[in-house]
Amino acid sequence: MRYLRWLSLPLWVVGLYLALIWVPDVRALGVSYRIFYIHLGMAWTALLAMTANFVLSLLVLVRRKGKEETDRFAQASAEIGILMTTATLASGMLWARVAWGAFWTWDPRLTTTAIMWFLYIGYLLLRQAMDDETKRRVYSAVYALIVFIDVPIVYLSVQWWRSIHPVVFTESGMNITPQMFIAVIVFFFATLVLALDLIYLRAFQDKVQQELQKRRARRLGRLGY
Amino acid sequence: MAVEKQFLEYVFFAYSAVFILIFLFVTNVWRRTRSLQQQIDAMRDDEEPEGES
Repeated sequence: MRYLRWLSLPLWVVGLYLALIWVPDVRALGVSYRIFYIHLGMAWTALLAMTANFVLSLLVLVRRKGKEETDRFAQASAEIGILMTTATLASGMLWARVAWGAFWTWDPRLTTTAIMWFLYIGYLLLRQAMDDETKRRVYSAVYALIVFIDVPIVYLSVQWWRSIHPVVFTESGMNITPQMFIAVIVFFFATLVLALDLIYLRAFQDKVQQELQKRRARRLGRLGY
Repeated sequence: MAVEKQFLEYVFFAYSAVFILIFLFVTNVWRRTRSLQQQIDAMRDDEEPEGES
């Protein structure tokens, strides 16, 4: 997994070059349109991380072996999903200030994304609140399966309700130029590879923490506590 | 040109915000993992005193 880090770095460099220099400005929004590339990359990766959390939570409930490891990765993907959603919201708010004249509007896409952010913060809080490992694993997996409902709603919100949020892919085709699409794809892969690396890093930290807790418990056992 | 570039600070803030977020997350995870590994190593040293295999 360590090679991911070395793959991520050149992708980010190329992505930044394409997004900030190579792609021309959009006439209506000028230079501010360049926020779009990082915003979209983070948003897509956030939705994928939440989807990974859903799949892994399902596996936690279904699988008989390796639950501990799967649960670790489920938690890590939710954390990275929250990180990416925070980045999406932050960059989106700045872009909204330029495009719409306000940092925040109660647009369906923005509202459902904010709800998703709170729901997954709730997932982490739920995990923190339970000491029993088995209970924590099962309850948080069930919670993750329920809250995942919001993820497709975030994606489909612009089609279901009246929204002023820009849409890249529509039934009639792509709303961006081929040049912009190249920058979007490179930035998306750069963000995706970074997210995979961060998930692995966070899951590894959790593994080390559990190892320490086991050693502490063994030591206390030997001392007669 | 001046009109086109007037929102440049927003681009700068957006990219900076994302980089700062990622940087804080990575350094936090990295430092915590290192600290945990040091604690494990210290416990291992206590369990296996010098000279003992």
